[in-house]
Amino acid sequence: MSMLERPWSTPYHPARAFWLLRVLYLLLAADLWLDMTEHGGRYGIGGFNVAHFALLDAWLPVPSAEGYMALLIASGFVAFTLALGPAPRWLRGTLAATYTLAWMLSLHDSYQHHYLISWLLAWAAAVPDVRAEQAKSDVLVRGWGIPMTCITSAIVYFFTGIAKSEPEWRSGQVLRAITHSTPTGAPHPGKFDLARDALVQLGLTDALVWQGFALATIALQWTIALGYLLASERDARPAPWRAALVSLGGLAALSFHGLAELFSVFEIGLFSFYMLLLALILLAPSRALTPLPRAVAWLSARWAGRASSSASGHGAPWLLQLASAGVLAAVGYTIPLPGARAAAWGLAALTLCRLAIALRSPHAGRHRAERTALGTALATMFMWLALTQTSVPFDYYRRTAGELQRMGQLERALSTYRLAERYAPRGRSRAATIREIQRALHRDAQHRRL
Amino acid sequence: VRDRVLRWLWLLVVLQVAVPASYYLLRDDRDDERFAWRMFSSVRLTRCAIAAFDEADGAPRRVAVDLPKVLHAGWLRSLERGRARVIEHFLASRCRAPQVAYGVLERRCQTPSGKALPPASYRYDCRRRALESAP
Repeated sequence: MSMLERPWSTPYHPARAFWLLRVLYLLLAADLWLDMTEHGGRYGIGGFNVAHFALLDAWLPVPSAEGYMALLIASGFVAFTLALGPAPRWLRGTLAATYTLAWMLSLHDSYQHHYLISWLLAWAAAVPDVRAEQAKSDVLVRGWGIPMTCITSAIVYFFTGIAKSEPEWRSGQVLRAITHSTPTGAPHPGKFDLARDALVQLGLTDALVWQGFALATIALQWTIALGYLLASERDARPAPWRAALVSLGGLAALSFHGLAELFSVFEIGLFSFYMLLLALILLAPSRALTPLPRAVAWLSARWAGRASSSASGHGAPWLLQLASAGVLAAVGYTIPLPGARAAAWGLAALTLCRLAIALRSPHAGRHRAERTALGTALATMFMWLALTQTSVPFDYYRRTAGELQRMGQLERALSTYRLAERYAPRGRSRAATIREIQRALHRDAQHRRL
Repeated sequence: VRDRVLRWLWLLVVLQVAVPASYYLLRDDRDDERFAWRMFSSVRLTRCAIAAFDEADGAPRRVAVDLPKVLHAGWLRSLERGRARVIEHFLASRCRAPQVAYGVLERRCQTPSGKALPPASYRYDCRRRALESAP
């Protein structure tokens, strides 16, 4: 094996592939449904939009809230079904493309971690779709998806360290600003001020403490980068020095993102969770990853046994999948968000496509069809729960209404606030705002009459 | 791994390094940190105030644009952050108003340590459909 080929052909423990696909797609579904959809109302407001690239501005119309939401809802659904498996490569590739299109459509979404997730989704398409029974074994698997994920992560942390090496970061000024630091004794201390005060008590100066925090952050970034760079060979070429450096990188990632989440330092949605789980899956020793697949394999074997004994014939999984497509289309009408119906119809069509593909090899595809049908049914249920039984509809409408009110579009704001009020969780009523807008509209009408 | 695939994989690695490296080596626009893995950088935490104006040909005074009324808060943040393409699109959109010959945006920024940066001014010529001046 040549040096150029070695990074891509080195085998790794199957549990890493098993967990990467399950966790990445589940987290993505949660991210899309519970976090990103609530911001969808800003698309198309005022007819103004700038895409990430001029080419997209030239080719695509101004994105609407309906279109954007349909893209997010459908992508979340596909991610959920892929997490449960089976995960055909063409569908994984399609998800990477739809997710990427969702953020590329508009500079409204310029979170750098969305760009990172696009890379991760693209590489995930090349990760072997390992089942739980295989994941618990010690027979190593190959595929360039995991090595590329490690390289991408190493590049990200390396450049993040470079960005933090600039003078303002090194001096600690940026960290002070991020953590909302206040002088010692001030009534509302910042997130790291307790630690700062403790170190100042030990005799260090305030400036030195912040410099120390900043330099420690940079060191953490590069330690994590090194860990990822060495990680993909950990299982095939075990060596104490490599295991130590990779584990050190893992601990650095867990402490950095764990602390950031604990103190809410960065406030960027689920980003810390993505990075924490990535570190656990790619940097932890493989023996830490196998106990759960054993349990999943046991449950899956029991379920498969029960399903095969209760199935009335070869048609059962196909019928279940056909019914799932029908239920999916109907569920779209119960989700009170723009784009939900279009997404549901599109997803029902996708389900039928997957059914048609499975029907081409009915015997080999029977178990696969059972898993697809179960995945579709569960994804439909969780999509409905996420988009109707949480604060998502309320947050979507109150955010949109608030923006319309600020822009002076009071009539639209009023009707949108009324929708928000319909889904308001206890204690978050917008009744007072609705009355305020009604009064403003009444005053406007009186002025016009005069 | 086949040779052709191998070449593509290494090309992808080079691309992943080249894109963020280009921020430091090639790009003039320091405000555009997209794709450079500069989360929570000093540039990102720079605080800016913006003001926009419509100018008519030969008119003695320019008219201030009520920005919160014409743009979503997300776009205002993009203008504050100096996103060049958003600035250009926004100023171009001002040309749709009658008698506007130039769209102007002024931006004043302060670094996280409180240091004021030189003010930046962008002027869009509606007839030529181009940014006439930018920092």
